[in-house]
Amino acid sequence: MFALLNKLIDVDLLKKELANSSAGGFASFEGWVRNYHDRKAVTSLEYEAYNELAEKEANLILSEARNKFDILDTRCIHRIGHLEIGELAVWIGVTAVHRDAAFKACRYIIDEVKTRLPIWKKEYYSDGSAEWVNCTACTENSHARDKEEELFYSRQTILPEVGPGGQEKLKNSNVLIVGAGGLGCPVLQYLAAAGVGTLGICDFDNLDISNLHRQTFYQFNDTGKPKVELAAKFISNMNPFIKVNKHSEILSQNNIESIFNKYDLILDCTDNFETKFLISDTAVKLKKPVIFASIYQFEGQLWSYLPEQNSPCIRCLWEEIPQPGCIGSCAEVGVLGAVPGVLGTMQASIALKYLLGISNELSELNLTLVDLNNLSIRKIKRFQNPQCLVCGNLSNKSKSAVLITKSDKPDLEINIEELSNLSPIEFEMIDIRTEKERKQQDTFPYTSRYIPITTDYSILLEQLSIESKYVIVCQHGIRSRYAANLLSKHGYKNVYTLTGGISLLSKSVVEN
Amino acid sequence: MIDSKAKRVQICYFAALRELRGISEETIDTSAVTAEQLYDELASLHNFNFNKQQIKVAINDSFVQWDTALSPKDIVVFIPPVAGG
Repeated sequence: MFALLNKLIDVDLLKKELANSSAGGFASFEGWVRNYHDRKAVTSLEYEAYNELAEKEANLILSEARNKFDILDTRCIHRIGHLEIGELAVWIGVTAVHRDAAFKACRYIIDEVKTRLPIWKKEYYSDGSAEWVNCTACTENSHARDKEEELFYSRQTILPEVGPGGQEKLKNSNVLIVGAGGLGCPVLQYLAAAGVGTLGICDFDNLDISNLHRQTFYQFNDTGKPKVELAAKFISNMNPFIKVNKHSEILSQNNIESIFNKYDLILDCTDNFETKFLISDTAVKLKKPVIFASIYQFEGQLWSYLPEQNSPCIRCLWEEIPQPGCIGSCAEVGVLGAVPGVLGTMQASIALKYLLGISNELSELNLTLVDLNNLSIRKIKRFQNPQCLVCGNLSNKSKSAVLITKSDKPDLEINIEELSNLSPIEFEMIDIRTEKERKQQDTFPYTSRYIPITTDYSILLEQLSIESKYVIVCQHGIRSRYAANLLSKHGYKNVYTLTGGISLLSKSVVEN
Repeated sequence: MIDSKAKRVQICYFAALRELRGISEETIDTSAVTAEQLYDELASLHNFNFNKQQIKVAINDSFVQWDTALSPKDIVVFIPPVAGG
């Protein structure tokens, strides 16, 4: 919170407001009125502000500080009006769990306040004269900032293919990264470092300790925190010249179009077929370019959907969403940490070349198989399928009909809140996680029947009664959604899938 | 005994198929006429238990239909979908 004040600042009161039992550190800065300026004796001074703008800008600075540093709370008060020597002109206080963040945030706030707020100073001198002081630091600082930005990208603007014009193109680009995991980490790092002007991060997960071997910019101490927040903080700290948007939601039929419409290019860094198909189908509909990557143990696949190149879509090759679990995810089959590092870095390089208009030699039209077992890269030519249900030559009417029938049924979804409102005698919960997943996370606050599924979902049809009411759960709500869809197709009227799965459920229990 | 119609082809395996086969590539002599027959032959040899709908096949670095005929020296690649991230 920021305030302009034309009376003495009450520091004790501010400290009381900031008091917080989870704070392990408090840092404050006081700016005092000094008795000389530029070798002239100063007797007193006067501050005048453009109040509305100053308040708006200051609150922006405080929210930037909250995004950049792991702090709990902050206050900033700036005096206006007439001040005597020694009086307190500005006060900043920051609380944090650890001192480092408190110190850094405090420093950040005062530096930004000094240069960005429309506050002017009139100094009264001992010879009776007075003068409005030009804030030379402000103008110098903004020039220095431009210079720094130029320097930041200097090693890539030297490239004839980039140049200052290319840098401007990157700065004006809006790119969405779906999934801030193994692929998302290198993608975010390189796109942020290259100066892509606006980066959107879409992820709903919290950082898990098992992510750290491949998701390399996260910190051990941050496990349990939302990845979208951590990733945004990391890249904003790395490059202060870019804008970062956070989308901490599960991508679904309901929100995907409104999110995609904000961006010029999408990078799919997700880890499941269902989201990849949703992204591809929506990209065809909205004519948005997408660069996809997937990994498996020591291998990866890269492909793109580029509407302007008439490239094939995912359904030209795989008409139906492969059954989750049929081929395996990182959790089930494992992955060497460096593999998503390589594939994500390749994805970032394809994206940068695309934004800069540097030819990727149409390699996007292939399916590129990267095999780190033998360090081979094989490019397989893909073809647009004229019969493709999504991008083929069918009439628009039948195409959109297909998209809708293939979509998730939102009425099968049940969220944690709705679940907690159900009486336990009303339904039976079916846990379809593998035995290994169950062992890793057994803090599950519901009684459930355990039917582990690795590949064969038809076992559910055998074991569940068509009349009863069930809530199917798995780790992340993807396999359970597939299961609920399957049961619903077989006439089960009362089956639901827990949105986000057990990973969200145990999180909410911990939070409450 | 090598079938008189046998042809020598190179095969590359990816992801779960490589895992089951235990190697990334091999050269074999086969009497299979189509890509599908070759897959079926390998599937029974190495216990590939996948739904064929979900496996794609490429010959000489282009995706082809399952009923495409094989020629000697073809490079045949079997590709399962992968989704990890």
